[in-house]
Amino acid sequence: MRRIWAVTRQTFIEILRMRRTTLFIFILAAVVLGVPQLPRLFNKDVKPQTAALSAGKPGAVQAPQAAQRHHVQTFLVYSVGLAGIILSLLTILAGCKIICEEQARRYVFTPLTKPVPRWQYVIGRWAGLVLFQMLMIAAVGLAVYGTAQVLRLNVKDRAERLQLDNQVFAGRYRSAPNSLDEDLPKVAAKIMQQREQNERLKDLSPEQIAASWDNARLLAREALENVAPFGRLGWRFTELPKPLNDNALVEFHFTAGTGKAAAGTGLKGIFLFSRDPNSEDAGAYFRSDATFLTDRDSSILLPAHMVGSDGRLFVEFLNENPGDPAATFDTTLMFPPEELYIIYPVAPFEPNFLRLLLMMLILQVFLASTTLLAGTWLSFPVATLMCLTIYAIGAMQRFLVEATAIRYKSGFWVYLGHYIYGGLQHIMPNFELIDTSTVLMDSLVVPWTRLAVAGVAFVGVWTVLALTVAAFVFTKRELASVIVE
Amino acid sequence: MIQPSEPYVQTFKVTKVFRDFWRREKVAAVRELDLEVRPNEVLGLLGPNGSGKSTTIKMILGLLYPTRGFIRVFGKRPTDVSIKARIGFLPEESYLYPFLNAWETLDYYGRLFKQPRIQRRQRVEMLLDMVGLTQVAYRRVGEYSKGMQRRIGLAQALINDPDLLILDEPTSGLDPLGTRQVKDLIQQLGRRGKTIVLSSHLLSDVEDVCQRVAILYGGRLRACGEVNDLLSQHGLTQIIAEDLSPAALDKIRAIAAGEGKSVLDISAPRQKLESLFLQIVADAQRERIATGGAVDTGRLAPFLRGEGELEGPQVVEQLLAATNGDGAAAAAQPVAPVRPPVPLDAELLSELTDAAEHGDGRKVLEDRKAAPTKPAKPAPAPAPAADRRIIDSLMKDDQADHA
Ligand SMILES: Nc1ncnc2c1ncn2[C@@H]1O[C@H](COP(=O)(O)OP(=O)(O)O)[C@@H](O)[C@H]1O
Ligand SMILES: [Mg+2]
Repeated sequence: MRRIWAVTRQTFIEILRMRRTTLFIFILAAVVLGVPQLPRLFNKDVKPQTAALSAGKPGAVQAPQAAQRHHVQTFLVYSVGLAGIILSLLTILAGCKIICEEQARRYVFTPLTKPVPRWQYVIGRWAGLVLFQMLMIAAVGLAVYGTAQVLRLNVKDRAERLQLDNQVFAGRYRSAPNSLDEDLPKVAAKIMQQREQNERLKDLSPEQIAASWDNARLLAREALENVAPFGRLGWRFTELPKPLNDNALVEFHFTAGTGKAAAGTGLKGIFLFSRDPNSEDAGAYFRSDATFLTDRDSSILLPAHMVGSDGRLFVEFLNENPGDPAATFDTTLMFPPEELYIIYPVAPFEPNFLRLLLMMLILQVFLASTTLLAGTWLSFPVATLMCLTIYAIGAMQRFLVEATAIRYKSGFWVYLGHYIYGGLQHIMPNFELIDTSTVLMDSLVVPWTRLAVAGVAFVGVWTVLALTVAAFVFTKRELASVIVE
Repeated sequence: MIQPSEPYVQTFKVTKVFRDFWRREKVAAVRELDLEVRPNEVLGLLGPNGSGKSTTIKMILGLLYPTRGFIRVFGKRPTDVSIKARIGFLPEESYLYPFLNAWETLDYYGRLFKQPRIQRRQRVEMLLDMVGLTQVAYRRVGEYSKGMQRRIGLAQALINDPDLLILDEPTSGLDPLGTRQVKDLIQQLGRRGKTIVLSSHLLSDVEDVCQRVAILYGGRLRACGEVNDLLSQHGLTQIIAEDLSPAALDKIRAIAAGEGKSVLDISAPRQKLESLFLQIVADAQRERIATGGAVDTGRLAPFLRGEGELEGPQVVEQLLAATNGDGAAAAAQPVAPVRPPVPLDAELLSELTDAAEHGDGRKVLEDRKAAPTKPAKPAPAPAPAADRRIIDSLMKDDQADHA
């Protein structure tokens, strides 16, 4: 243990004294301190009042507008995201350097003729790198948190500050309604039942019946997403966690579209929010007479108590748009389910931010072990390239899934890409688990369970595996016979 | 357990073939080498460049694996970590981390031996003092000259007070002073019963300090045995006297002729360049001329002399002294105590002249031969003019090869 610590300590000093580390620290500082200045430079006409008009008043529909709170959010997303990228590059470059260079330059002969087992040496190297990144992440965390607090205190408007605390300085829970998943098969079945009663299905071939089911599902979906003039449409939210406190604001987000109207056409309707009428704390209703625009994300603020103690919330919408007198468009409204959700604070900001930093650390731990795995048997440039590739594939996971999906018309290269990438994807842990930008974009809460899953995938499985292989390779390796480059 | 008389290192028909990336055989660096390092001996590995000395050493240390044959070190495999605690190694070049300073370097290696803090600190300071780098201990090793790095390399090899010290060309890159020191050090350690393996292509290194030499050429063992046996040349007599007149020389010739022998060569003895240089440096040190490089303290670190390390109150005292302002105190210290100029063997000279007066110079020389503890003195060596035929022929071969 003391030997591992000696190597760890040595590695830490080594990284600290590398010139590239200094460079990266300067870049990090520039990013963290520079990002908050950007909106001021590029978006001069934002005033706190723009958003404050409707802010904080429950029930009013809010149009998406640039406001000070968005700047704070942008700052958080960008500074943490960029810091993550910079630290990852540093891990890869420093990690490959500490393990490759000493083999190439033969510095490694001296420590390895001391009584330190080679596997301990590898672990010590890795631990030194991780220790360094821990301190870097802690520094970045402090700097970002401090800057964010300064930005927050600069928001003088009370309503805007309230919104800021609700939307940015919180860990929020986001939930989609579960109506479609449950209801669609039921409605489709009902349609099919009717068709059967009409005895129209009897003469059909199995393929035609299958097609009929498809058609029924389509109709069901239409019925569940669309609402005709003066028609009603409902959504159910269940298993909602308790809001952070009584002052928490629950945001209900929706986007409504019509068949023909141009985006941005004004619409109106009534949203009715209620708790489960059968539950003991039933009876609270909340009504919003809303005016909103087509195809724009809009939101309604609800008081915290609308989320019942049973974790349920019902929403009903009444389409108040009569048939257009000029008949220029159909006022049947469509609510795409993926853009309909509620979001509200369930956890305080600080512990959530801490968990976010842990997500960053998990990535660095993973990368550190990957660089050691590559560096024990590859030369510096090759090892660096390999690690950068793994990092890039991980970071672009979602994009690559789409890019290499096999579509209707697929050529050789699409198949090749699909299978190569598909294979890699099965080996590598899921990077979405530790993607800070999707978390910060909506100030989402990072549950411990998510951290635990990420920890098992990235550290428990991959890191342990990579370090084991690296230690094995390093132990078996004939170090002095390395003929370099 | 290993018997006391059992060799520390044994190689059995060891062959090392280097291959290239495609596994094609490139060089046979060592071929069928059978070698033994016995306890308490100073063994010289001698051979021209590229004869496989370093390769042999790296195999002994587990940095290379033999292609055929096997090696036992302290009765175990060279890759066994437990034996490393008893070994000190100075690589052919001082592969040291350039970003650490001398102090940190030694401290790091001390840590790898799990040495407790106080012991580590003591040893580091003693070793720095021994290799004469106390004054530059806080400069990065990367800034050091090659010789200074060599000194640190030597210091790190000694940090664990090893039983088996393996030195790969320890004097390469060192100034004559350093060379002298290293040789003295090896001799002192050898006298303390340490086992030392020393590789070199410099005959004088090996000649001065080794009891036994193994001569490698092209990866094969060509000769192996006691130095005296390999070097002594019977049938010649050397007389060193004060300046003699031609008449006196004629008399000597006549005496020789009377015994039926002829005088082969008469010349004025010249001071060896090595001893001259040593004298100049010693003088400079006596005058306390500052140097940014290495200095000779002439001291062996106490723990290497086998003297117990400081304990209890002594430690506290020393620590207190050390905390009196760390680096500043170290820098303010006077240049390390001066070592008296190396005597030009005045003792021997007077003995000789005495003996000459009694007409019995020959006996003194023979006495001298019989006392092999002294040949290391950098005096005009009264040791027999060496028969280096084996070695020289090998060296010549080598040059011819490379030409
Ligand atoms: N890592 C290596 N790869 C290939 N050849 C090597 C390697 N190390 C040494 N050699 C070759 O082995 C031979 C012996 O080298 P070495 O043991 O270093 O000689 P020396 O006696 O000078 O220390 C040389 O011909 C050298 O070129
Ligand atoms: Mg060599």
